[in-house]
Amino acid sequence: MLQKRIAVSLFLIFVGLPLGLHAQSQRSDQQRAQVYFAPNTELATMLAELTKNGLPLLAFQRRQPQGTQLWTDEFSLDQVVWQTSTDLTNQYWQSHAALRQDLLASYRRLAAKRIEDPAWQALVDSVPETFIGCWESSSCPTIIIYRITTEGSPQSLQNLAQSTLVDRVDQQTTSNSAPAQVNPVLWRPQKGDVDIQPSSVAGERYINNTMYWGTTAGFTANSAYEHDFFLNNSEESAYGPGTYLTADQSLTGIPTVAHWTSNLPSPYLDTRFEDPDFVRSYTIGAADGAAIVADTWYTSLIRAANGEADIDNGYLQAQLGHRTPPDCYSTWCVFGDQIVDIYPAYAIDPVPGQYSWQFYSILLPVIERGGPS
Amino acid sequence: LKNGLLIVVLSVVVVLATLLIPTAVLSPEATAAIGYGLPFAYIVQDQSRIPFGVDGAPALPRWQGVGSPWEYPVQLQPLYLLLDIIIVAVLLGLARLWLRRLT
Repeated sequence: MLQKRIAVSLFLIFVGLPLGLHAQSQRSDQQRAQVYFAPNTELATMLAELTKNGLPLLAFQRRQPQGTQLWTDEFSLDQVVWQTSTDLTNQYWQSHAALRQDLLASYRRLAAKRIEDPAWQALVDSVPETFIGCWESSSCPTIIIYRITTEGSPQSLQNLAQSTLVDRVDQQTTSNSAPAQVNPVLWRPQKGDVDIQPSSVAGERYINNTMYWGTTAGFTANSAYEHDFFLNNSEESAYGPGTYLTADQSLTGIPTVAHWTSNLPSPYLDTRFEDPDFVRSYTIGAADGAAIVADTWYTSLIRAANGEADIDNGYLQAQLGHRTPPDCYSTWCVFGDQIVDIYPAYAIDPVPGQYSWQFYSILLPVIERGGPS
Repeated sequence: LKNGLLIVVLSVVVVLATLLIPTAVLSPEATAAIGYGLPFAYIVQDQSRIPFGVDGAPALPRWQGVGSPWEYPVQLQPLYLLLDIIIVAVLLGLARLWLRRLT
C-alpha cells in the first residue's frame, strides 16, 4: 500500500509537474510586451511596423517635456474604435485634452492648501499643453511614439525587436533578488493628496495622486517606487459591491483604463497580478526611483470608465521596489520590497472625495491624514 | 553517485513544491511576514497590502497562499532553504533504502 502511494507521488512529481508546466507555457504563448521606439517615430510609422509583424496595438505612450518636467501619458485602446492613424490621432488628442482638463480641475480644488508653495506652482505651470478642438478640424499634430504595448507570439515579438525603428522590447521576467531593507523615511513621499472625482469625459472618472518628497536618499540606482491606491471591491463592504472606477482588467491583471498621465520618472501602470478580487489597485509606479527629485511635486492621474459603485472607500500605500533586470523599466520588471501605509484600509472614505496627507517629521513616522474635503 | 544526484534534484523539486502549500495567518499583524516553504519556511512574504478582516474583506485566521513577487515583497532565507533540501534529501534517501529492503 505504502509502495503504491510512493509510486503515485513520484509519478505526480515527474510526470504531472512537467505536464502542468508545459500546459501553462502553452497557455501563455501569447506574450504581452512593451516596445520602445527610436526617437521621433511617428504613430503612422509605428502602426505600419506593427502591421508588418502581425501585432495588435493595445496602448501607446507619448512623452512631453514641459519646463523642467517630463510628462508621460499612456492612451489605452481597449475602448477605442478606430480605422486609420488620423482617426486614432484625433481620438488621442480629444482624450488628452480631457486629461488636462481633469488635472487642472483637480489642482484648482487643491490650490487653497498649497497657496504658498512655489514647488506646487511649478507643477501646475508644467501641465502639458494640448490642442483643444483640433479633432474637429482634423488639424491635430502628429503623435511621436515613445513606447507601445502589444501582444503576440515570441517569434513575432522577436521579429519586431529586430526592426531599426525599435530600441528595445521588454517582456515579463520572473527573476528576483532579495533586497536590503531601507528606512522608510528615506524613500516615502513626505506629503500629497488623493482626489477621486467624476471626469470631464461623460461616463468616466479619475483618480489624481500628488506627492512630494522631502528626501530621496533611500533610493539607489535600481530603485522603483509605487504609489498604490486601492478601491474596495468586496461584495460585503458597507457600500456594497463594485468599485468607483471600473474594476475591469486584462488577463494579466493590467487595469482597463482610458488614459493616464504622470510626471514621475519612467512611469508605468501597475499590474494587479495575483491581487485578491476584493480589492482593486489603481497605481502608477516610477520605474526609475533614483530620478525622483526632492522638493518637487509629482502627480499621476488615471481616468477610467465608471465602476459599478457610485460610492466606495479605499486606501493608499507607498511601496519601495527594485528593477530586475536593471535596464528594464516596465511593470513586469519591478518587484516590491517594502510597504508603508499612508491611509490604512479603508481610511479613504468616502470616495469620491479629496484627501490630503503629510508625514510631519522627517525622522518620526507621524502622519496627519486629512478627511474628505 | 547518479542516485545521490537524483535524490538531490528530487529534494529541490519537493522543497520548491512546498511553496504551493498555504500558510495559516492568524492576525492582521502576521500578514507583514508570512512564511512559506516546508519543513522550515524559507520565503517570508509581506502581504500587508491586503486588508484582511476590514470592511468586507475575508476575516482572519485563514489559510493564505503565496502571492506574486511583483506585488508582495519577498525575503529569501537561504540557510533554511539549504536545511530543507538536506532534510528532504535525507528522508528520500531513507525511503529509498527502505523500499530496497522491502523489495
